[in-house]
Amino acid sequence: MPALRRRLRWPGWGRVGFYLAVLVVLAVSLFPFYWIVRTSLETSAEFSAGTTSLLPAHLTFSNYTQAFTQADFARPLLNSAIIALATTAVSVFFGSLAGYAMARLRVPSGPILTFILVAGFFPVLAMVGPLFLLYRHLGFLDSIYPLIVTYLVYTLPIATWLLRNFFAQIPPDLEEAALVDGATRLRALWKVVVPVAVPGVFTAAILSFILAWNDFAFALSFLQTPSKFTAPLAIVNLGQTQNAFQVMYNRIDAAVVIVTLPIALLVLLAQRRIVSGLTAGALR
Amino acid sequence: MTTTTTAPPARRFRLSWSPRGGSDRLRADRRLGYLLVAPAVVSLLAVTGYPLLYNLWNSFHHENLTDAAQAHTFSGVSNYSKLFSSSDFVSSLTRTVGFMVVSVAFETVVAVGLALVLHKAFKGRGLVRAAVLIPWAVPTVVSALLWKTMFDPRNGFVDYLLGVFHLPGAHTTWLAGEWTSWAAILVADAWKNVPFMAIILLAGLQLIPDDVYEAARIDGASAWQSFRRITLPLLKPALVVALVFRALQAFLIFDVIFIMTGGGPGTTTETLSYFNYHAFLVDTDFGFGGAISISLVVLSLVIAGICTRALRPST
Amino acid sequence: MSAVELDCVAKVYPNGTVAVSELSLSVDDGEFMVLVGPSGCGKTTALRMVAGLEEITSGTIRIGDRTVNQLAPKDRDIAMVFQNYALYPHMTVAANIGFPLQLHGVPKDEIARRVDEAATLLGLEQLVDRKPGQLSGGQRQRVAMGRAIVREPSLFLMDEPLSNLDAKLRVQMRAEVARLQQRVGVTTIYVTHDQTEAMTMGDRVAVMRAGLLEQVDTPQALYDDPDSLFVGAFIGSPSMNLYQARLDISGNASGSIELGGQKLGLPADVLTSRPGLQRYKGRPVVVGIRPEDLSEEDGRSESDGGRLKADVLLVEALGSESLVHFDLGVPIFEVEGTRSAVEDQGDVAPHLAGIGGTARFGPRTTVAVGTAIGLRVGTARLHFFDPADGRAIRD
Repeated sequence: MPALRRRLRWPGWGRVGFYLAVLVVLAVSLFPFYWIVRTSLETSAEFSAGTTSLLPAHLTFSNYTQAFTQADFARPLLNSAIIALATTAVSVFFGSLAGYAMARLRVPSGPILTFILVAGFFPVLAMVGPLFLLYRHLGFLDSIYPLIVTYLVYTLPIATWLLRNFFAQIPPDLEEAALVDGATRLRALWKVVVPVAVPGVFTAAILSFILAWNDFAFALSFLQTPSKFTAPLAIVNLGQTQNAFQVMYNRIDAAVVIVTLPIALLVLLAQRRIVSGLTAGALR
Repeated sequence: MTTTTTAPPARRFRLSWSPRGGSDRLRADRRLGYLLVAPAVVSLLAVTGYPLLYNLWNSFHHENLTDAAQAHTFSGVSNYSKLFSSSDFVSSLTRTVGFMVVSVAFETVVAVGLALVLHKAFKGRGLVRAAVLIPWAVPTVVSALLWKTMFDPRNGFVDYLLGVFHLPGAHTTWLAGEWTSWAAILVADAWKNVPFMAIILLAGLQLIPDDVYEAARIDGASAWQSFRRITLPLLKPALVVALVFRALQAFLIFDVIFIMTGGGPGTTTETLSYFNYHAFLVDTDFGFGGAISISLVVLSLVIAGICTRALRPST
Repeated sequence: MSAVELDCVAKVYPNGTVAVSELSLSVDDGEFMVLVGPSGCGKTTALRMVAGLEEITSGTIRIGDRTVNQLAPKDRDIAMVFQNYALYPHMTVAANIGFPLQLHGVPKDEIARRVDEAATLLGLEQLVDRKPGQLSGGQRQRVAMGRAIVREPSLFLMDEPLSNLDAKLRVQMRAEVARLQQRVGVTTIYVTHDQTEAMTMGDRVAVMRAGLLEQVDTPQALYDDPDSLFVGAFIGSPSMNLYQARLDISGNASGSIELGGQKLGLPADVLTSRPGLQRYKGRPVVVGIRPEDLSEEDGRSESDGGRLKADVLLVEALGSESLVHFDLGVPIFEVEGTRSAVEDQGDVAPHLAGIGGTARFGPRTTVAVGTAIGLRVGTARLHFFDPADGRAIRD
């Protein structure tokens, strides 16, 4: 691998200094996760007594079982999964159509693309009021489905941008061959262009999922019944419904760990795609 | 179709050519293009363009849900005059801009360092990159609660660390004071967002060819000189992108504030987004909230403009 | 199967670039028509207009009895082989070949049968389950051919299909493609920049330059009787030796041309078969001599034809013949657009192109580099061109 042979100038602290830096990076990134896992494995009595050691006294999973039995945390997880997956599907679908049109069909892609990207920076809290009134009027408040459309503001700009760039890189020959072979534009798109762009579609899907899974502001503004909550909202709610005297982080952190796990797994499996997606999204 | 064959060749040539390409199939292609772009554009217009116009309308009307009597009546610029004379607005604007400047400056410095570490080839680099990305990928709710745990006066790691080394500040209730709250918010925000900046900068670093460094070394540049004179200038495009992204995100900060401090103690950590949230969903004053939203949009545009202009390469 | 008719077809890009101007060409039913010319001559654009991948700015294209100007590619009943093959990377060989049939709603079992047939015809039976990424260049080329023939279209379009193959495979595939076309008998338009390919494959060859059609004819007719300097210089390898000369016609029927300091006698029949030459009496012309019309003077037959003296610069022994590069003391006449094409083909050592000329001698020739030799000129087969407009001087 040529990358391993590459010698980049690292300000002269030498090897030891470099690996020390790597260690610090790892510690800062991961140690807080250890701390919440550690906290989530404490009993409430231990937690109340305060922390005196790096390791938990003994391990208890009661906070996790409680999260599912008492707090019914499975429901918000399911809600979050439904919304995030649906948003991802819609984003990839709409994003493919728009990305293809801008990469290949003669639409004026400049202004349209600018609009789509600027929309991605629209202040979220400035959307909350009008959408609240609209959803209230339509009877959409306290339902998870309007969130799918709302979340498009997070996901659709980056998905469209990524897919447009991926489509533009596919040799036009392939599509022309399909057109000559008897395909319409749309069939060429679904049968040839999209399958060839699978890595790009994947990247767009992963980023969309992460962004949709992470929302808090919209869920906070539009959802009212705990059974409708998304996972992030449910966790925050868990803290606020507790006895205000001392917040029992051991309980909350169990839920935090549960929400973090799928995302951590996704990042470990798809690190390369995420990096390429973020950088392709930013530098071009 | 057949009429063209009867026209004299020389004229036909000019008649049928138009700069926009006028044939049926071209037009069909373009029509299909608009059709394909439509779902994305319409749905984004629905969630951004519509709120923008609705906010604009609301901001000139009485739209307080608790005041049904005056509902929908024209209010002139009263919402705006109330906003601009409100000390809450001015102070939250000051706080927000202050936080944006401090956090972006701090995060940029850290991110450049992190990008340099991640750029170097070493065994296990992929895993380290993944480890760094996890904080970025988790919900803000997670990072906020995680750091709330870390800063807990009795059970937090910060407290533990200060206690072990017998440092002052153990058992500090971080989120009870204004500046300690901001410190905790800054840490939580940086922990989640530095990785994003670093990844963007990393991509910028990868665009710099190695031979430039080799040439500099032959010319006798020290490590610091080659960083200062080569890496930074060549990294500028990536820095601009990262800065614009981050400055806007920091300006609109909400989740972390809501979860860690709820704007408190008092209103000392209330940012503009929080102020806007409060107007909409606590006070249910959509006229006043609309005015805040409009200023939020305008200020975002101003910030994006300043960032891109200030950092544009000097010609 | 159908004939194809291009009537005054032009392509002008929105920025004003004229890629093809007023191209009229008819391809007979079942014919193998080659479009040849240097890069940028408009041949690929012309092909893509026939395919429907490029808009036609003006003119008409007919395939069979239909005007297809406004038809989408899929409705033109054509098949196309692309320069980079354009195989669908996510489909197997069988799926690639079957894709056009699938798009046309052919039942599954019939697709399987016809894919099988095509694969057998092309020797791809063992490879049907592979993906394009696992195939060699020649195999990919065959799959692309398979995808074209399986449709039994009324027209094949091929855009430099052999240019990505190595030299040896290219020669082999050249024969294979020509044989396949004869066998299926489908009208074919084939684009190439390689004049050897054009000559060996085409029933007829259309030579294009700078968006204009120069000449259409059978390969032999193009070679023997080029209409223009460009065609003369472009067709043939090694290419025709071209020199500017002055034509002298004495009172009676015979004449001579002055080439540098040398005089080359022209017998009467040369002039009578090209009456147009009379108009160039005492004026400059461009004379073209094919390398095989220059032979080694053996000192015996002195009666017929002219003779030229030359210095030998280089002898290339090819086994079956020897190419003798010589210097006549006259610069060769440059024809715009041909030299790069000739050099592309690697037939002339680049440092020699431009100074001398080439003759085709027998393999056992004893001429040595640096010596002066006598060249016998087959004057009956000389070519004459107008130096101003490049047209051949005949009638």
